[in-house]
Amino acid sequence: MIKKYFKYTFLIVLLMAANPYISLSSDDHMIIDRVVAVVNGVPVVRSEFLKNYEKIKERSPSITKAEALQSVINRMLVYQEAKEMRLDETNPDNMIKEYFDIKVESGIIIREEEIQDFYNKNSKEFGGKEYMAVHDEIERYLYELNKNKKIKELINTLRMQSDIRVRLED
Amino acid sequence: MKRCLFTLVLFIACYIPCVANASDSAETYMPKELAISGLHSMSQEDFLNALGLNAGSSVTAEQLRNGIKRVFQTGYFEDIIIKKMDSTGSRIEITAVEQKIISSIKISGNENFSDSFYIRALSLEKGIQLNSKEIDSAAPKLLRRLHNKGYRKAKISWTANELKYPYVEIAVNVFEGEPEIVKKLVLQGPEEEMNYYLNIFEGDIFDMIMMEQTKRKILDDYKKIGHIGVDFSYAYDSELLTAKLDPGRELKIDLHNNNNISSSRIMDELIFYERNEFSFDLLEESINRLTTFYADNGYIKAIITPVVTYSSSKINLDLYIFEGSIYNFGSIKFSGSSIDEKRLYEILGVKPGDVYRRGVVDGAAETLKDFYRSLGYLYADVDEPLIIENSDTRTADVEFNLKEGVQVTISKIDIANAKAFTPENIKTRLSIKPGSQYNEVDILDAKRVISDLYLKEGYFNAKVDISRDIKNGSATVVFNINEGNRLFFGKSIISGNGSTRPKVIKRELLHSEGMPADYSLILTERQNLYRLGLFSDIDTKLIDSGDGRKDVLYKLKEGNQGFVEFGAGYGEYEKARGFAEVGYRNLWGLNKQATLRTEFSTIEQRAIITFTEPWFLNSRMPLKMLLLHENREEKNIDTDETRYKLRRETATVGIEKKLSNNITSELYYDLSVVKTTEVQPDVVLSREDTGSLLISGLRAGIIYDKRDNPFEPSKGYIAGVTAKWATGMLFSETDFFKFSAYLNNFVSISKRVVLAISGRVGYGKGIGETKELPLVERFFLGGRTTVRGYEQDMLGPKGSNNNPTGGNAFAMANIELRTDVGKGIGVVTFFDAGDVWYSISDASMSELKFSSGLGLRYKTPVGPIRIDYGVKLNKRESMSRGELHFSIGHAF
Repeated sequence: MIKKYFKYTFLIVLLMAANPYISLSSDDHMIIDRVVAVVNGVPVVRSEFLKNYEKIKERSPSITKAEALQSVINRMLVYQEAKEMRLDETNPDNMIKEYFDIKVESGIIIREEEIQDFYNKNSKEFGGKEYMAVHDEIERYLYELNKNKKIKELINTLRMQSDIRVRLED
Repeated sequence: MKRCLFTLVLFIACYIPCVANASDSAETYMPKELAISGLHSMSQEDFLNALGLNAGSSVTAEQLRNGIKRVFQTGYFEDIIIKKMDSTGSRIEITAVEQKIISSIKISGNENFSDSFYIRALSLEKGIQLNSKEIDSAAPKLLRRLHNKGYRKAKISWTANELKYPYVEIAVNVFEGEPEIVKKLVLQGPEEEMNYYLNIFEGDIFDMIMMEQTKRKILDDYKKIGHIGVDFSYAYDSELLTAKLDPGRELKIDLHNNNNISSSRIMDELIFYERNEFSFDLLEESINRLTTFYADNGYIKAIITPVVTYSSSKINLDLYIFEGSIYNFGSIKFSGSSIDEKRLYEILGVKPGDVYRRGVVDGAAETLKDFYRSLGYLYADVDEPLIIENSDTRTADVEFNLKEGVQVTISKIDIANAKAFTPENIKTRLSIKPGSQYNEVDILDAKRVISDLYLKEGYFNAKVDISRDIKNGSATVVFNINEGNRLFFGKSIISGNGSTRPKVIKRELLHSEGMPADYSLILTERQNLYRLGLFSDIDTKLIDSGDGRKDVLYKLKEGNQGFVEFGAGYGEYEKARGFAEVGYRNLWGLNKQATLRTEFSTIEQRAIITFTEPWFLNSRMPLKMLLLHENREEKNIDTDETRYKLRRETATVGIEKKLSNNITSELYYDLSVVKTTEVQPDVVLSREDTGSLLISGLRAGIIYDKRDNPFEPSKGYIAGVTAKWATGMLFSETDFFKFSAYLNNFVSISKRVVLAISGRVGYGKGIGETKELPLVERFFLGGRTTVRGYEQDMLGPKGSNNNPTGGNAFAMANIELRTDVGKGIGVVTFFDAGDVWYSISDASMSELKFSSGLGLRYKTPVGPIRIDYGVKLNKRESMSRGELHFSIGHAF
């Protein structure tokens, strides 16, 4: 199972890192500020991004600038889309959460057969525990799996529809 | 748990805070020198203003960050790089990288479709910003179109070739390839019709778009000739095109005995052709629709009997209609109601005597209930009406039984959680007060008033919730306010003003940085900017500045600033007439306007040069200058004899000032050199009437305009007063004082009828040695805008040869009833009265001349084209009966 999680993690990081990027110029220390990406006309400003990058690195030390920038772009895309829906929320984090509730979570249904099927295929992983004993755990897992898949699809769709220009160099 | 790791990675990706905290805001720069490069679409002044950067002013890193975001809102930029050129940041270099602009488009490789076909399909346009995404998304659609047109091997690629920054050339390379050719054509169906409709032959390209058009035409045409069950299909495979037409069957419908409802209206209710089929279910549905339609038009006893007969190629449907008699409403009663019956009739839209429409009665109880509840009768109930249809009198008596219940009144109004305004301040603005009848409409209106109040003060997110506590016929209404944050205006970002200087735009703005963000000001500013006549499109947007303020972005698109106009026409006095005008609205980018206009007709030639400075002395006070050269021949229309000839050179300069939204004042200095020749002796009243005369004087006026529409007024009024004083102190060779005033009032009688009333008076007096007003300044009446039963200028005192001399005083009144008959056509009946006198002491109401008549109007963008025929009501024997006038614009 752990292998699987790492596989997905690797895939996502790969997905984020796969976008083209270029490197900072030699007179970087003289730059007060500039634009590192433009998402549907909205700029990601370098100084702001670098601060965020430092924060992200505290949680994920191996993440590169390019990967972090892609995640910032993802968040901007979702936020822009959430704003289009004119949700009641005004706080960006809450707005994005509400957007995911509507667009992603409300559509996820885990059927009993799927749980049973997962148990049958991975029974060894559960160390001989009874089906009912791990039922809720599997259901939660499948729910998360579905949710992540849908988020990935949603972000991919948004990226396809959007004008994204990356100017970051690393 | 381990499995949450995957989720976490994605959520990190999505939930990283995008806005950094302001810990770097302490980093401050004090630039003494700024260098900008790469700027093309904005002025340097606007760019730096939006960026928040000024030489000599300190700026924080956070302000610069917000400045970059602000500038990006213009949509012109791809990057803005701000560099310090020394360690302290006293020299700052800004490099703007703008988005590419398309300067040329090159299409190559196209053999069968024109360049413009590809340019349109790819949404390409010279002068606009390059949007690669848009071209990339248009390309597959274009390919599909080419495929459908038979070019299934077509391919398209494009590149943007860099030219001089920021311009690019778009090069589109097209490979159309060999088209799909129909080598064999198989037609199934009636041969003659197939050949008529199918415009494709063996050897032609298989064009699916054309085939679809053919299909639509076939279905439409067969529907028109009454066929149902029509089908047309086609298939193309391996160079074989098979087309199949099933013409269905003719459905012939004959209507019998529909004496009161037209056949075309009845056919609208029958749905066979629309559905392209005939069945007994559809027949039943159609009969039901038709019966309901009859009942809704008062024919409640109508019976429709269908007879259907079939033949091999045809269905005959005979509808035998017994319409019966039309029923009207007899009495309509409302028992238990305390409200005036007439008002209830208005609510229902019917009254006794009207055609009895069952559809109205069906929903009437609910309509009445809603009406009562809106008036505060919250417990009102209305039973379904009792209807008695009387076949003897052919009437339907309707009685509604109402239980009004108590009418709730508002006992208390509370305003909760208001901080920006006191509750008392808010309450005084509301139309509802304690003691008012409870009315939902009024309460919602009060909510709107409160919301507007907060909006005007910058509370963009203010919310007003209403709670109502209703007990024993009295209500407490509480407006609960959640004010939210107050927002203030930030910077104004102006873009797109290529040739117009920023100050021309800024002086039209009503807000300034730091004021409460009142969006209504932005809407007014937008109107002001449009009024300049310089912009074809103005987009305004409020955007977060990042420091809690709202920046205002103005995206402008400049329109044509030069113009050429010309026209020709015919007037009953001037005969053939025309004009040509050339002008420019934006001299030096400052909205200064200059025009050169020439007017010519059989009796006059004029050349006019005008110049307008819209903001004289840095205030909204237009300075206007005019130079006029005029040659004019005044004629007696009856005899065609010249009354006098006039040559005039005039220079005028003056200012106009709007004192309020409705009041405009003006002050001008006029200098004219007038030469009158060939003056008929009987027209001469004073020595100033012949030869050259220099008239120099001041003219002042004031206009109060309360009309709803200056071109086509339907209500309101306009009043104006003008006075002119010519004096030797200003080197005038004649001294006089002249005054005129008017009042035009417009009353809307109904939606299509307007009553227009006008009164005009004028008075002039010579001063010192000048006894009479000079000929060119005297008042004349008669003609298309004055008393229309008379020829141009022919009212008032006459000379010995019956030529009008004009006078020093006049009075006139006009009444018009303007009726709009639709499609831009109007009919006017009018009554005019007026006369001119030598002096005011001669004025006598008993001498007034009257005329009345009829006119036609046709609306055009420059005012109505007008034909009037006026008849003299007190004509003398030698006079004509009336006069015909052609003109443009209303008489007043």
